[in-house]
Amino acid sequence: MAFREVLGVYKDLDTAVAATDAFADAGFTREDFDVLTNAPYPEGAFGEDPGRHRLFMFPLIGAASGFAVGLLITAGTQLAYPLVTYGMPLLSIPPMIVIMYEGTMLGALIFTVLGVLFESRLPRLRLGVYDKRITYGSIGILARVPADRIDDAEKALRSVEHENIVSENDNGDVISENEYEPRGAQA
Amino acid sequence: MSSHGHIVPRVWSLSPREIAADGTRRIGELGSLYRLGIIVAAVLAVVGIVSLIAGPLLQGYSDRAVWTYVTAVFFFLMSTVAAAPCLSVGLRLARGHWRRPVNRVAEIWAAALIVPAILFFVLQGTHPSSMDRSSLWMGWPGAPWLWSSIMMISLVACGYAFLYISARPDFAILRDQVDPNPKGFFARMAGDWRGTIKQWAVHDRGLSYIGVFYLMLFVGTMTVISSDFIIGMVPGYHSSIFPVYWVVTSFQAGIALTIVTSAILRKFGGAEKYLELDQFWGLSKMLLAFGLLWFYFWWSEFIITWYSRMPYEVNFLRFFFFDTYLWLFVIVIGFCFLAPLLGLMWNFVRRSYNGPTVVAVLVLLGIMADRIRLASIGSTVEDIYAPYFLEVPSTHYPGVFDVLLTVGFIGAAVGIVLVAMRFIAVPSIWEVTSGLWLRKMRKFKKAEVIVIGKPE
Amino acid sequence: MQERHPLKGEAITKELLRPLNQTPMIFWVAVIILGGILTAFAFAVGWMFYWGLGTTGLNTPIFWGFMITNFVFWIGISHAGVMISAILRLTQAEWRRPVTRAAEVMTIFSLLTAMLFPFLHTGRPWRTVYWVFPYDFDRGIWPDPRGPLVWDPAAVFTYLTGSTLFLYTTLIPDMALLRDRSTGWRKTLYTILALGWRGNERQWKLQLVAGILLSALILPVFVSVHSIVSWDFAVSLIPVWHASIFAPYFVIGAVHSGVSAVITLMALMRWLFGFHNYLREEHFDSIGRLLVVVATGWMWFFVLDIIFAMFTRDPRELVVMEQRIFEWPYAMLLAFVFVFAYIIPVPVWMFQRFRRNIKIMFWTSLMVNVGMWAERYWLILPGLERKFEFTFMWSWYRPSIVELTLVFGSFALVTFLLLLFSKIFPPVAVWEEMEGVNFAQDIQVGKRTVHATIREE
Repeated sequence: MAFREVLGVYKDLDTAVAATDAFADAGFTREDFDVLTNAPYPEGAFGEDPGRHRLFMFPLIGAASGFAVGLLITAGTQLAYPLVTYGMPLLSIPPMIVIMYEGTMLGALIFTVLGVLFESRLPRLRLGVYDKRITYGSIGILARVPADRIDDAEKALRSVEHENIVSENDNGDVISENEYEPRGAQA
Repeated sequence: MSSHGHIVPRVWSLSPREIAADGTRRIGELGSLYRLGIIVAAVLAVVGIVSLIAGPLLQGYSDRAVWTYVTAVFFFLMSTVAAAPCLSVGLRLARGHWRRPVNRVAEIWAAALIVPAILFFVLQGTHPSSMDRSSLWMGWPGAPWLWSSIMMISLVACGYAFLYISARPDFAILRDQVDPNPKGFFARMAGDWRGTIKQWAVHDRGLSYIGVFYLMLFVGTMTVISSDFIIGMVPGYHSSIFPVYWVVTSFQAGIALTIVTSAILRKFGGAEKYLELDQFWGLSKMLLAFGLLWFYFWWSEFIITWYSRMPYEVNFLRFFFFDTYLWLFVIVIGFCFLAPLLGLMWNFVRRSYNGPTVVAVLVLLGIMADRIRLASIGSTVEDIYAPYFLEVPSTHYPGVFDVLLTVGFIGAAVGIVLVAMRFIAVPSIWEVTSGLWLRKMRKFKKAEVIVIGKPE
Repeated sequence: MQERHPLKGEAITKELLRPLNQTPMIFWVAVIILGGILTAFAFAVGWMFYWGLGTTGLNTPIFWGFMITNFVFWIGISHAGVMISAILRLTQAEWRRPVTRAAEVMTIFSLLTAMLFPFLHTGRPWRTVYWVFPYDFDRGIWPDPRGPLVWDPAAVFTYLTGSTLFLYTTLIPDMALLRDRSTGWRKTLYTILALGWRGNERQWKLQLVAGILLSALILPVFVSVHSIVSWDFAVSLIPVWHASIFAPYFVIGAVHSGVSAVITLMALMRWLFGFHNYLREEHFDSIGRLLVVVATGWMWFFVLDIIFAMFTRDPRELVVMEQRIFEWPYAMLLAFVFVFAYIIPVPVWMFQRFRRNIKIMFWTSLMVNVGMWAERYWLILPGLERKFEFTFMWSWYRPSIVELTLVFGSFALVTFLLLLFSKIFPPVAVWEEMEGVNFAQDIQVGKRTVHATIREE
């Protein structure tokens, strides 16, 4: 089933929460909307977010990969150029541990960041249904519903005092009802 | 309403009156299990004293190896009983609210400081002069006996003062609430405490100062002990990291002891409303961190020694880790490092009652094995005046008296703490009460959230 | 002891983005001065490469001098970022918010600067790369992982990569904020760096989990880096270097100097950017309190290192210790280290009214780092001067003007990079400040209102 998005932008927390209530009254569930903000709010402030993530798997995979690469480099270079140095035998384990440890941690770090990006669904090449007001402090309630219910969703979002409604048409073009004039700090 | 997994600690719903009544009840009611514990501890203490007299004391000070297990139990008690109050100091400095019920559980062990102190003075006879050998004191007059004794006495005095100052407001509560008041004990201990704003301010400041002073004395005394009993007794061994290893692993044991005590108090001591998941979670994170530090400090010494490949340093490795005490060392690395790492790296284990308790028991066993290993190393090198030891000594095994005195003196320390719990509220009444105002569950739009205030 | 600034919402953003929008005269003065020093730095590097290491004070048996001292010093400074950022994130310390970004950035720039110096000191860096990187495939010669000089780049590279990723992950929300309020090349840059961030609940949740996870992962790396740097010295048999305490001693010294450098940086940011609402007295107070503990720990290690070097009664150790403690110039340097890195600052930091005095904190933190630079020099040089005691191939080290220029240049380089960063990226994390506002609460206790925070698990 095709899904469409519509975004209601609200100037403060109270109206945004009221919009989520109106949305629920229209028969939608918590899975049908997302909240866009410029900073985190306490978890559950808009209702419990059902989304789960598997970020914790990433460092484990990264650590295992990093350890394997560390082992390969340390063992491989000693075997490739077999020379006893400092009176230490080939494949001396204590010095190998140092580099394997660094490899393990490097793998874990890199994979964690990759995991953050992957689980956050980033990079996102097109912002899509979005409003700059969000980074200026407004709160966006982003409905993602089956195409045949998009009107109901928009109606629910409109039922509360709002700053803007952003939607997309059938071609995927973004339509903003009330273009934003910057009023705050510019870089 | 959304609560996303918050479990409201039961203590938050209690009133100050209920907390005081709970504390008073714990002091007043002695269960049959408590009485049994006291009797067992007393029997063990007698066994320990008899074994000390019949074993090492009757054999005299000519053979230091005879004193190995007296040294080991002294080390173990210093690493647990004396280290646990440091946890209380550290947690107060960090100011987390979850600490409140834990602090008294840790600092009550200061009551048993007299046991390692007695052992320390008995062991003073095993020390030769610090002249003409490697020693921290470098031939200073009266060393090592006089100066290390001063440090030990200061530590013990400071420990008792710390416990007393911390418990004074509770003594006042008990003075007014316990009926019948045992021989005016609580009244004498509470003195003129009425809980004025000035008294609280002085108490707060005094507790911080004496706590920091205890911590610093502990570090200093343990540095001296590690040097006098181990480093200075193994010719050529001059590892500057060893005192740090000694102190850090003692902190680890102090945390483990606090976790085990908390678990026992939850099960048998009626403290289940106070020592909840928050406390076990916080302590288990610390135990995990100290498990990693155990490895770091051991490794930092090992890699330097291993890399040098000097014959005398290779001997250290054989003596300390790989030949003489290999199996003890395997137990140590398994229980002090691998168990915390592999067990507590998982949040569901950390955030439970049984997980941290099992790991803490293993850590205590590991530290016991470590202290036996190190006491054996420090007591069995024959010529301590040589520049290096060239022959690796053989393994020292315990006799019957050694086992009995070890168990006996640990029992004595436990017994003293059990008796202390008859007079000092565990967990603390005033500290738990003063946290009530600063933590709330509140509604924040659709969520139920925890709100934490920090006034200081 | 939480304090609050009165600002909310857009006013916070406006203030925190001020360095990107406004360029005060002092900025240009700083750029010109730093540019001058950097030109001298570049000239000194060129001069040394052209004429060789003879232009330095290095000579047999002393081949590690100012440049390696400077390397160790900057590695130490780089520890501030993780110390502040990771530990404070893990402990959910509320006062971390305005401090973390600058500390993380300082980590990266000081690490980059540190990495320059081992390469510079070889005199011909392009010939030495194959010591570290396995690239000389034709001759089948590979780096030897058994040597500490290979561990070192492995650790520093891991730390640099980790710190950069850590910083970038926490920068993404601010990049989105800048994307929505910029034009021209800045908009292009921020759009690329923001990666299409929209700030939905899942993204925020992952941002917070990542903060904790990356902190937990980078802490062991941070400890390993300076430990491994210390093993460059300690695994050798040179007198006074061969000490098992070197690893934690270097780490705690690094934390001491690094956290002090954060105080210096915070004071400068407060004065330069007018961040009085964010870098408040309570932050200096908290860090000052932390530093008392760190400095005392460092002093314990310092004393242990000295005592156990003498404990051995080994003539090789004793002769160097005698030189370090009683002979010119090391005796004076030792006194200098004690006084600058401990005896003056720590008693001052014991008093709250001094910890809350920004000028005093600035000058004492600066003193610590002057002392800690001297401490690194004091640790490294004397052992080398008496390295071959039996052949009496003894020597003195006197740094040349080239080496002095390189050291001063390194300070200019880090400062310049920090200034440059503050013109392109917000030096205080805007979203973290906003989060602080969103999570702020009050608890009423009698007549007193206690500032409180919503605590996430």
